[in-house]
Amino acid sequence: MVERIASEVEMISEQTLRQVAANSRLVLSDEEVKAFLVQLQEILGFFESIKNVRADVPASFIPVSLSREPADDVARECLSQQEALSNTQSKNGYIKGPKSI
Amino acid sequence: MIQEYIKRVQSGEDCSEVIAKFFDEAKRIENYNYFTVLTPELAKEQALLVSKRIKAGEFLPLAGLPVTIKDCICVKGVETTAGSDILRGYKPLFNASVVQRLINAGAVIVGKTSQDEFGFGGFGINTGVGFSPAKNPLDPSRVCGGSSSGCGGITRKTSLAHVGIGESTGGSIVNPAAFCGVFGLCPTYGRVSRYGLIDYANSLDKIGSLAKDLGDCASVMSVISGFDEMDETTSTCPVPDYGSFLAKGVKGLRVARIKEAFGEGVDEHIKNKVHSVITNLEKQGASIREVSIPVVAEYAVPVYYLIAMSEASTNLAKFCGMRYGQHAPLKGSFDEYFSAVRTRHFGAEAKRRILLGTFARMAGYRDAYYLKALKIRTLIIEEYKKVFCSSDVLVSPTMPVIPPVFEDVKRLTPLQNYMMDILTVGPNLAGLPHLSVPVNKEWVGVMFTADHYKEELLFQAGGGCG
Repeated sequence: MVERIASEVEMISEQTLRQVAANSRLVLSDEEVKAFLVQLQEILGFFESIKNVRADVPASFIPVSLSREPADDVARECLSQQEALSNTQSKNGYIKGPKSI
Repeated sequence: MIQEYIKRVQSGEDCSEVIAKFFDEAKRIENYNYFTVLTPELAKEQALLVSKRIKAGEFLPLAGLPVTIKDCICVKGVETTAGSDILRGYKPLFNASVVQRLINAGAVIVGKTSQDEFGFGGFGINTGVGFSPAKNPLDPSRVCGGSSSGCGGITRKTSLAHVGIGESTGGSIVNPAAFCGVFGLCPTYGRVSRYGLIDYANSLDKIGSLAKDLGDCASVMSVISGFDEMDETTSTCPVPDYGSFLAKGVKGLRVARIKEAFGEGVDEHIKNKVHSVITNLEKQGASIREVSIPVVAEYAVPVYYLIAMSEASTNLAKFCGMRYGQHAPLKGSFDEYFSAVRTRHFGAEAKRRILLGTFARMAGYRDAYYLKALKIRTLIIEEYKKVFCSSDVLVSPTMPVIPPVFEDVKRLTPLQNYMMDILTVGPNLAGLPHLSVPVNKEWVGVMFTADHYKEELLFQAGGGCG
């Protein structure tokens, strides 16, 4: 059985949600903010349970251990410029983007 | 089932007729929404090539087999969207390794199957903007399950030889397999290459197969499994001949019934069906015992969602109207452009998961949520490993309910939706192979879970379910 520790419940505020949306490059309408806030508070409240677990163990970034050496760093055939740009808006061999200045 | 057909094609029978029938059938059942795109021209070319290769004396283990590919897996030159509007128009310049292996083995790619957007769902209803949810092949008023929803649906619905390639992050292969009454095998993490898969969550994603017959699953898994130099996480462990384990029998197989998987929240009807399968295995000589995995039962859902959403929010950062799929008129600053494209083309569940994942990785929250979840994942893996010291396979129901009707799913809150994954997220978090076997070809699945790289034990157990 895992050991439990006490913790305080943190709730996401509207201000934090708007900041998270901006960081995520998403524009939320006021209605969306209202709906997501209720949903995210419920979900994050549920996630709080993990804070009660004592886990003095290493993190598992992947579920299996990898014992192989990384592949050699050798150049190989790659996409042509034309191919690489085929799914983009491009001009003169470059991806086109909004004006930055 | 597919082996008879493959033998005929290998002996010289033209597969073009079956491929043509597949497209006729797909058109007849178009309103079930199983496909994002069909590929008749590609299939025609591949069928011709199969005939040529056989005439030249090649042996093709999947000769002429119609195979569908979940939309999140890249097929060269075929629109690949992962069920998301933001990727509409994206045509990969290469085949995913799994697709290339299937083609090399003589399979014919007939289409891309529908799914929850980027795999974000367990009912197939979180489809991207402009996509429609797949309907259950046994009752169109009900869902197919998800997120490999179209894959589960067509696998059950088609009358022809066929295997579907699905993908699972938290249960997306076994869930639709159970709801559609077919077999679904999700392999060990790293058993099948993820090269060419549009990632949902890199440390959780696995590619596997769904089929009407367990032998069909085995035939395809033997082809697609194994080391791939394009995916550093693939294993060099040898791939056994999975088919040879189907008739091995279950005498002496140590089967552990997961105590918590038969508790509150699981339909009595489902418990009874799964118990009848366990009793049958015992009669055939399997040894049955009960095990408890309390850490998995209590924490797998929040830990899974924290890790999955954190990884997903970073993976989806690259979809911003520049390199793939949808574009927009180039107005405003880069930030304004990215935000406009993402806001317009991501669906509601994708936005919800991006927000949650971004929040969980923010300074001040990262250690408490994301890192803590990764540490509890270690406890979960250790708990499973302990059980496998004295058991060969674990058994549980696949899903706690039968496929619900669409109206009922719409009434669930997002959290209630996530809780439906309670039986499947454990093995997915731990990267363990698991198999859903349909009980009496109905929409109830019994799930077997084995230790890492022990898929053959799943085929042995599944083979004993008759």
